[in-house]
Amino acid sequence: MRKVQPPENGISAKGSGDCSQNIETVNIKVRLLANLSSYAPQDEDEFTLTVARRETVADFIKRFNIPAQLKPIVIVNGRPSRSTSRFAEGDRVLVYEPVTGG
Amino acid sequence: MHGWMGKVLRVDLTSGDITEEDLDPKVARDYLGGRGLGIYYLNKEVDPTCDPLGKDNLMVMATGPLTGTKAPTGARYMVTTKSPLTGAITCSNSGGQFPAHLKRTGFDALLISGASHKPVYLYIDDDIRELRPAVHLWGRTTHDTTDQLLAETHAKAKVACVGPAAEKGALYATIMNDKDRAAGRSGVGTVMAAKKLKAIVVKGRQKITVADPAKFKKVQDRVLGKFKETYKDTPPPLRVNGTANTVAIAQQFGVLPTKNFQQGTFDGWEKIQAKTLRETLVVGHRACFSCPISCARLTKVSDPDFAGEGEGPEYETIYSMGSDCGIDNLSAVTKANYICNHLGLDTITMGATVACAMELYERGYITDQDVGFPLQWGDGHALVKLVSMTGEMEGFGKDLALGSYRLAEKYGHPELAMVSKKQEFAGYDPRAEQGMGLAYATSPIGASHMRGDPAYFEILGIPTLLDPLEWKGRAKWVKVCQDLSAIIDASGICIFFTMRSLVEQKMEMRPFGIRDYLEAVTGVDYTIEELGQVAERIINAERLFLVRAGLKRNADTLPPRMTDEPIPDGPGSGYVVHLEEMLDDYYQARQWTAEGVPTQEKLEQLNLR
Repeated sequence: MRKVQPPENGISAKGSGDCSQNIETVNIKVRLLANLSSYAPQDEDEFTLTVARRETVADFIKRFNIPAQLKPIVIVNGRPSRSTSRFAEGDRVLVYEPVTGG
Repeated sequence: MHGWMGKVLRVDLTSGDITEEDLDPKVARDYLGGRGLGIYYLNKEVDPTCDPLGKDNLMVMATGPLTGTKAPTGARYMVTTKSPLTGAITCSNSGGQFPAHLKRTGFDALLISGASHKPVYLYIDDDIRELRPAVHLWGRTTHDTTDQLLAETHAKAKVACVGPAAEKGALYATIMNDKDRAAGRSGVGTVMAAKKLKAIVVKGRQKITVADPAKFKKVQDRVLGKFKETYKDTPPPLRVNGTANTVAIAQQFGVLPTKNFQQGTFDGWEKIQAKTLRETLVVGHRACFSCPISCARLTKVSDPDFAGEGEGPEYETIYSMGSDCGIDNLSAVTKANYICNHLGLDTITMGATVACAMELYERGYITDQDVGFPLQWGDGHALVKLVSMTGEMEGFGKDLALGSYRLAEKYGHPELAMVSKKQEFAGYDPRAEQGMGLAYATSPIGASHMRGDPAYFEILGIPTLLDPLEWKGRAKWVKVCQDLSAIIDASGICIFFTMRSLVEQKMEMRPFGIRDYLEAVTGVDYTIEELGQVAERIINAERLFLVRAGLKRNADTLPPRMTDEPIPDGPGSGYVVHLEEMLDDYYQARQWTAEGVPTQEKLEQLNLR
């Protein structure tokens, strides 16, 4: 638990700047909020991740092993995402459990 | 009766008479409690055109049938009265420990009428129900007042009181209970102070009986069992981050109000987000009565310019005093929050009014001479100074104490007040959250996120996430969440637990969990349909009060910035609120006329006249 799972294509989480020129991959900026930050790699709640262009939102969320009962939702560039949507270079991705309030 | 205490206490401050009355079981069943009982008595006894600060206004403090029980978050009470800020009905809700104790004095509600000649406080403990002199407390802060009252009554009593801001007539003064919990909005504290009632002190000793303890335990085991299972590996997000968690979400969606709602994103947001709060100022967290979440932030500021200790800030305060004022200094925001708590001011309206003043200054409509010093965006020192000046009614603080609408109107630009029914918006720019725009405009108390909170399904993801930029078809879901809020507000529980744990996770949001608790506690065999009727009865009763006060469609408005000026940034860039279209749909869904007046048919269906 709490380790980032390498996705099926074998590309793992890397720091900012890695693979930025690779046309098969994109770099995205990920932020895990509140309790979900404990499922982030290296105890950082915000990090850059290199993912395959063909990786879907559903594939992406599996990386973090967040328990299903927390029902994490994924917001990309401030818009609700579909489980089948894919990422583009520079996407800002926010992941949180839908329990909060103001 | 079970769940209800079956009695209300009537306090006539003009004559000093204090009398007990029975609570009619049919009224209890039809209105539940809290917000429901509030509007029931207001409609029965108050002329909607009365002066809110005169002796004819009534203030109802009511708990719900679940308040004080072991039902999770059964900690809430509601203050209902006519508001001096909006001229409409208002109800403002608070948790902490006071509400459960209030109910355990044996009363479901306090009905406070008239006005005293001299400052008094109300003390209730067993057979003691007394109005006692409070001249020695007048002028003192909410914290000092609470300490003094605990010393002169009972160390374990609970106190709700007003501060200097209310006494001096600031139009958005709060009633603070347990020192830092607030019935915060629309000037309920101003009404209490106008009645010369400084405080209410309660020592609850009676037992709240439950109709079916076995059923209650079964519901409790199911609901709390699931909650514990969900959080077996990590704590709930509201415990980790408090409501400040919403800063990062609002920023991403482009709804984080910035510089008096000129923008929906704030460059300095990372300096005011929950993580920064947690890592720099938070020293602990606190739960209200019977709450498994514990969302309140205990904080300590060491920056000598803003040093202090206390509770807060919540998300709403971070928006109003932070991004909305262009301020990225969390220590300044927190200090301003502390001052509001001590002097008794609503942090939302206070911050939003300073933001409005900052825009008036930027545009040259007010000057250094009016304010007394320069007023630039981002100036945390100016914020803190202005909050104190408002609470003490000094200099420009007298203008700020009027709220943003009257302030902007005084200087010739009412369009710069981000209000509905003269009450300031909550922390969501409705141009990028269409349902919130409709909720602000149709909330009976003026702009509020608590009389129906579309943020849950527009950005937070409960029960699911809808496109926040879509306005078509949105009105019916706004109605659904407003109706749900009425049930939550009348039952005496907190929305934070309810939304995920007591409500169906579909857009219909039927409150099965609340129904189960109500049935076990009261013994009334409520159905979902009957609860739907209760919700509609409350909302239509409130609407009747508004209509009689002259507030119809003409008052269900938003400022032109929201309907005519597209938001310039964020994912909603280019959008305005489609208010008129949504209003048509909304009135239809409510079975109101095109002018926003409940139809005779609707009123008869709900047994309202």
